[in-house]
Amino acid sequence: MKDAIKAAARRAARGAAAFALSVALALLAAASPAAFRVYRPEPTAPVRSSLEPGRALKAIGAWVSGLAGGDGFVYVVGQTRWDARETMPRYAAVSFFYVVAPGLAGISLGIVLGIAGGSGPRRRGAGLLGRALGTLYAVPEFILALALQLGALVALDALGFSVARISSDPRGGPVLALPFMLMAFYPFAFTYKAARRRALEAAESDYVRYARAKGLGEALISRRHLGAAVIPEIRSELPSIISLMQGNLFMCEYIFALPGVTRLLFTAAFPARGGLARSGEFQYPVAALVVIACFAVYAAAWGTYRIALAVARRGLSGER
Amino acid sequence: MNAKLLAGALALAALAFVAAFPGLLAPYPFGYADTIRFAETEAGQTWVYAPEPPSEVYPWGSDDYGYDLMTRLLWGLRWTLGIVTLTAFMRSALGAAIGIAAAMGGSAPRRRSGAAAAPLAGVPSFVLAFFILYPITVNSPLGSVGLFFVQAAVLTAFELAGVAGSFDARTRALLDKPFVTAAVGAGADRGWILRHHLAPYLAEAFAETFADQCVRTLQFVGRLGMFFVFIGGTTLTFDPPLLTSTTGELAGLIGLYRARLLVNRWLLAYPLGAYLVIAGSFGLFASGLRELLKKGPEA
Repeated sequence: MKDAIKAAARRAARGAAAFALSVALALLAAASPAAFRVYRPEPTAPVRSSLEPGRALKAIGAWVSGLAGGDGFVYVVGQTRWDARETMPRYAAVSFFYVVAPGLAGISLGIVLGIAGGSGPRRRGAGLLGRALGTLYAVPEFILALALQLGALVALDALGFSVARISSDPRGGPVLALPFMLMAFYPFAFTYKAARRRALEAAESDYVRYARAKGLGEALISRRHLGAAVIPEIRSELPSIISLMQGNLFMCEYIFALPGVTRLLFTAAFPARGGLARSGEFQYPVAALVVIACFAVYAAAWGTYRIALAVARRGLSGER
Repeated sequence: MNAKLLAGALALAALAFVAAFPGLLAPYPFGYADTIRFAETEAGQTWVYAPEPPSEVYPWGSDDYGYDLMTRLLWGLRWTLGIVTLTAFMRSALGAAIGIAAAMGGSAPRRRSGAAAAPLAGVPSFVLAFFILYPITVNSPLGSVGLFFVQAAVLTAFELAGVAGSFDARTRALLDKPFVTAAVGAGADRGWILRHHLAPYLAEAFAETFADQCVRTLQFVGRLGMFFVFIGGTTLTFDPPLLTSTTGELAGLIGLYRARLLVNRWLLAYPLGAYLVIAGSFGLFASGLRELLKKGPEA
């Protein structure tokens, strides 16, 4: 018992150290734009840039020392000064929603269809679905995002009314169907493949054959035996699924103009006004806080998924 | 050779030919621009302003500065194919060298717990690459060619660990095979084992990894392009402040024109189509190669 506790503590310490190291590395990488000075020697001269690594260290130092007094949370967009302690939780909530809600929807659907496709008479159709999903899965998320926007606009031209909003605006709220679908698709396709593969393996196992021989119904076998086998498989794939979703989150928030935390990086961190295409000072505090918020969203999503899968396993298998 | 591999190889060969000789197909010389022109129409003579939609004059339309989009895409193709193949090759070669060295050096294999979180994934690798590349890409003093090699080096560094880990695992699996154990027992040294027992198998793994990394690099470059990090350079002008691709690299043009969904859609549609053709060609090649290696050369 003591050994088990010690091993768990060691694992937790290793995990915490890896997490802290990851955050530190990301914060260091986020400072690299500060190491470059973009300027024009004269008003009519071409723009130049020079590498000054000391500026990056200075930016990190200024941010860290400003945290205690509150200056490390202040950033400027246009002429307005904002305090990240007030704004960041709202942005992070939107990001968390888009990682968790579509993810859970996609994973749930993937598990249900994967189990259904891995047992019973629907295997042929399930194979076709798997190939179709595999093809779409190979398309990068930014291409699918643009295709969805283009499709909505073509539908608007053809039908005369809007079938879906292509970007977020303050009046319509941050919940949009297109990014929700996009964020749900990749975990769905991933989970479907993994769940079907595991369900196919489990369907041939001795305990499932025994259950069938005992006369248990297919629905019960699917739920209790295959479901119980599939959930741990999906749990082991969680790091892959969430990292996939974190990458997609950056693209979704940027392309669909969602008011999430990752978009702030491209609209506020780089320039004084209007995003990447504007000149101005790089705001390291925004980049650093976005990085930290991303890790927080990642950790919170990971915990939520773990709890949801544990509940699903208990629900499916009836284990206590 | 299976149908996928053949189709992918033929498509890539055709793309490589176009990339090498874009002037043969491009309707206009490199750098030609016409922001305004005088045209004869049925209604009489009229001035036509850029950007122009696709027509007989500009088969794929022209952009805001009067550049023919087809010419720009054909000349930009070499940058796309160049960065993809160079990065994929360097990742595969370096990853193989590191992985094989680690496995043959006898270092302890990296332990991975499947259910543990991967903390660095909190910020995706393309975002970390963006932080590093954005400042050196915008108005780069390195010039397009110099910057191209720096960008390839940075892109190689990302995901190198995964490739090295894969070769490490494959090499360890081969070292455990009976024929290798027998060779060691017979007195074969490491060089002999590497040349005669590992290399034939790892060469196949290298080809497979290279093809896969081509697909992944193309996606990576596309993601960076969405955030104005263009291969070969991003030109930032002030008054008005604008970002544009210095080389016309294809993935960059998608990022540049992604806001053109509402008006002048051809500006986005053609780069998007070209990108999908390249992605499809690499995808077919990689998938076909995987199938071939799985079944064996006689398949």
